Amino acid sequence: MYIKKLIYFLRNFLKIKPLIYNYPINKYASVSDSFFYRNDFIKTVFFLSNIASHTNPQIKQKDFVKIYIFSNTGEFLKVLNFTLKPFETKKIIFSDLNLKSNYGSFYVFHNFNENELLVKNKSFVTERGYLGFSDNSIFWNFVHGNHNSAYLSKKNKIKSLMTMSFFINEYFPQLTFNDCDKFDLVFTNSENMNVKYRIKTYDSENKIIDDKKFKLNSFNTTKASFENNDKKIKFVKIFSKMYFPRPVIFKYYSKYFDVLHG
Amino acid sequence: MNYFFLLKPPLKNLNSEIDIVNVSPSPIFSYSKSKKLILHYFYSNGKEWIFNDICSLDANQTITINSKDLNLDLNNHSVFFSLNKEKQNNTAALKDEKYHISKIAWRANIKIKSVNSSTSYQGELPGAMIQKNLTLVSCSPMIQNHPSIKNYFYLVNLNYLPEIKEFNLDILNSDKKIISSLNCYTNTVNLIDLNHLKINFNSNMYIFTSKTGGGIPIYFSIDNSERMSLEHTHPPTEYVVHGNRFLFQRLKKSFWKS
Repeated sequence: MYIKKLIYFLRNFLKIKPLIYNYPINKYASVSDSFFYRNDFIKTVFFLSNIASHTNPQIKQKDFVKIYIFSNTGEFLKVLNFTLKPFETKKIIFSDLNLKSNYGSFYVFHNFNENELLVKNKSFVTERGYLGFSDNSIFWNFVHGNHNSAYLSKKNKIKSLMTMSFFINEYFPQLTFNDCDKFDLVFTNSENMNVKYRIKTYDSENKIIDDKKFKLNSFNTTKASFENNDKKIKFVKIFSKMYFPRPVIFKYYSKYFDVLHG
Repeated sequence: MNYFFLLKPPLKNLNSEIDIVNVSPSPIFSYSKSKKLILHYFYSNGKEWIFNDICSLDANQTITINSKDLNLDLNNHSVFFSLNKEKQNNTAALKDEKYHISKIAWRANIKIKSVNSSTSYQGELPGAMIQKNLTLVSCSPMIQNHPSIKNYFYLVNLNYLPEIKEFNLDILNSDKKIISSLNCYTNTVNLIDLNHLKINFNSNMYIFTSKTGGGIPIYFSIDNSERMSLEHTHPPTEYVVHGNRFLFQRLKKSFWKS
């Protein structure tokens, strides 16, 4: 496994048939997105489901879940433990958790007893479930998780699965921004090192309007905000040594907001 | 190649829009380069696919199309889009052209808009889907239970043959009890008004399932103030990563369809 890991590292580093996500080393590992939460004027709910009931519902078993929560500055805040009955889905409302950070990231790792079928088929459960965001805590605007960001090691350490290169890569979110007044691009970092990002915004003629650079420390979260009252920004491009720097996007309109993964 | 679609707006004060993007999301993971293509919209009349070309889209160009731009009544036509190498004529079968091949899917931004707001998701209908006999298991926590909120369900079905056939869709609770049975159609952007079903949606999860048809399941909600939400559910393969993911899809589908 360590030799495979070295081969994958070299492929990724040198940009030779790179992987989108690395493989966990632990064959029993559980994988999670690096989810974004916020507790400012927009609140967050997460729907936590028994994932064993999704991967092999014939076996009715409990799912033991750990949710690790980090502040925007990468400080570990708390771990929540849940035991879900078969087919159970719970709402986790972040404003009820008394977190000292207004935004940040969290990881959801599942564990259940009968997982030999996953191991035999070299598969891993992955939590990329459903988040809701709301400005009134009644109506929720949903977005699903979009990365296989990290896994939990045997020693309960969060290990990143995001792939990195020596070279800069570009990512183009396939949507337009010239219908909204403002937007945020949200990035989380599950790596144990800093990741640099560069975001260029473009008008309808593909002329650069803005060029922002920032560095995201380990387990940090950032909301890169862009004012767009004049509706000039139409596209964005993201540059990073990370191969797949897909952000969560909030688009703000005269009333309310849209949230989607880029 | 991927196909795209417009969602029928469920209310009169809403309209539908799509950003169609001829730009690779990630050059390193794309096996195809962006090149000049012809954008068409098409729909089925039950016997053949009716094609209309909209424009040619240069490499790295993007177009936004609003439902009002097409002069088509979305209540009578389910409108799909394709980018093709050549101008398409009306045809008896759709062809899956091999381009926009990428490990990270080429997507469109599929939107429902009001005067003051918009909701969207990044969507596509993969060309590989149109030749398959589809079934559906969609587990959704996205139905919101509040007097001020209305919920709708879309099922976007596309087959390479233009025939419009009925198929059954069941809504189950997590105890596998059928709480409603509905009809959907092939080659259609099916829109189901969940508010008319007289179901008290007070659970955290519902399962939309069909043994005889499938497609892209999308959930739309709107409140009295026009807050809106639009998102699809993951296919069953997305609950696992690496290895034999389709085995777990089969297990999940066989459980909920039995």
